[in-house]
Amino acid sequence: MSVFGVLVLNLLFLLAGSCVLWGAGAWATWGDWAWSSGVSYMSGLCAVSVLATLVPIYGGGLSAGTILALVAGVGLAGIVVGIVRRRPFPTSSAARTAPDLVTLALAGVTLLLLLLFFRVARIEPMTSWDAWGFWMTKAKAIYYFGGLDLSIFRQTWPSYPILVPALAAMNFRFMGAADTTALAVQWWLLGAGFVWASAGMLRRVAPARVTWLFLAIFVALPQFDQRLLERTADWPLDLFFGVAACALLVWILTRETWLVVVFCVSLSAALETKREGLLLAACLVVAGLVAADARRRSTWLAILGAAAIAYLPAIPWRLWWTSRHLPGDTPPGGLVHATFTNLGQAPKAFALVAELTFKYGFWLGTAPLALVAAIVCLRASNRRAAVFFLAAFGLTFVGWAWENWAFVSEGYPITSDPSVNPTNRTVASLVVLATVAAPVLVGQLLAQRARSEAPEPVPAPASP
Amino acid sequence: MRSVNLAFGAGVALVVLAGAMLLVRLPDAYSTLNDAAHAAAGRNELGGALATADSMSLNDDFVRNAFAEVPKNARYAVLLPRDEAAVEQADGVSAVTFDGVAALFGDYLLPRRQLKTAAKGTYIICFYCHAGAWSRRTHWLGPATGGGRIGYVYR
Repeated sequence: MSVFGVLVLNLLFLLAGSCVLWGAGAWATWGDWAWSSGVSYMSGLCAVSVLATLVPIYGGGLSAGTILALVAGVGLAGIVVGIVRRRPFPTSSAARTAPDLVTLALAGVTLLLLLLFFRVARIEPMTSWDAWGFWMTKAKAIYYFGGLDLSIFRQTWPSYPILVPALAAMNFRFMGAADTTALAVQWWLLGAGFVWASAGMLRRVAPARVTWLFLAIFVALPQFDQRLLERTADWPLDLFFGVAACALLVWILTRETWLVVVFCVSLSAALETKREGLLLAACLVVAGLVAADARRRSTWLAILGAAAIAYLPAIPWRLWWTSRHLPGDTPPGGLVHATFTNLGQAPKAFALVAELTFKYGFWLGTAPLALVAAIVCLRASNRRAAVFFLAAFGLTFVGWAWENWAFVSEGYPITSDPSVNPTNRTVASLVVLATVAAPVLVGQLLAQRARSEAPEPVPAPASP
Repeated sequence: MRSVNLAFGAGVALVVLAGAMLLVRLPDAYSTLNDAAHAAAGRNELGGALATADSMSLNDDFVRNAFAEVPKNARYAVLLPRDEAAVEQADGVSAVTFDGVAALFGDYLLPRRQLKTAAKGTYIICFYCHAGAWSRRTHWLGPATGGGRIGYVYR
């Protein structure tokens, strides 16, 4: 019954996201919808969850009626935009291209691994300290008491944003109980949704075989298999970041407007998931501006405009905890002071981030492969994808090192021990970034032979 | 033309490496997920609280008693020993268990509300606490189990 509730709620996310993306012009035929439904699902989940965080901040409870109203509000907004923009009513697809056998095999492997993972997600109890220590405690408090009960939120890392607790509380409402075991299915759906959404977006700019090869590797990552179901905010943050990065990368190459909408809602979800979301968002925005030619008005208007809108829902949360004088978990003397005072720790911090990012036993070799592909792609005539990936990867890498040296203390040493330092979890963002960029970069390399025999083509939707 | 061939060759090499990486990892991924499914089966008693208690080396019966004796609308406090180090030495309880016991009950016992200190009309979850000091105004609900005891403060 609990798992059924999770599935119903997530179908509503898919419905709301489908309306939004129809309004944004992402799909016009049912065939397009099928290919982009992963993007629709993640967009719907992000949009509804971000709005849901505002309800308890203003003292409300996430009742079934409220959740349905949020879903309906998001969906109707998409429909209204679609009508105003005169989007055609969806029709059936005229031409259908069957995927080749290699693509089908790789997609089949990915699906098989995800199904095996679902068997675990259905029954695995929550044992991660951070999950029962505060993430799920906050979720249950929202579910049982409504609003943000200060007696609980004061005790449980009060400055952390509340998208994950709000998402879990919505699941509890649809389950009819605070069943944290069945809630693992929601985390599984986030992982599957990321894969589904990435495949939908990348099909426009990367060969399907290469895309599914890297997505299959992603599902087989040791740290993905071991940690996705922890029911903390680490993997959701990385997955929202991954969707935002993928949307921005594909937008840089194709300039399709609907991708800005996906970038905006997924970036907003990342900002509302963990404080580190701000760092990741800043890295993406700068990389996007560098790669997409910031001199063009349409570039900075789209990237900075979307980022500014994405940040808006984070303001009420910031006002809530600062107005109650709750501690912000900043280092003594402030961030700028700590950055320069602890500068001597920077080499150690960089070494730690490098060690954990490239640890084969954690992440296989996705990041090194993508880096090599990007460096070779810099010699190509169209190097926007490579520049975007290298800038985003480099900035994020420096960002995680900075977090280590600026926040270093006796309780937060620079060490690979995961019980006192989160870097083995935070570097997942770099691997997710590499996963969505690698198919584009490797695809560009493979296209070189064809290009030597024909004029330079413009990026066009690849065959599914 | 040569740089084109180099780029194409690099692309092919990267695909081959990625494919090999996936092939080598697949058997491990399969057994990791399969083992996790078998390990998770049947561990959901009390909404997974006992699985968490096991990871914290807390006695299952103590946790069961807390669920059974503290009503859902009640308030309670978790009381620990004054000298945790002494108990750690004498009874082999780890410091991690003492660190996590209040947070564990704080999560799993919701909607029961946790207090910093016990008062009249509230419950006590005593984990190696100084039970004697509370006995004059507490009605103990069953014997001590695994160092833990549940009580009701009646005055």
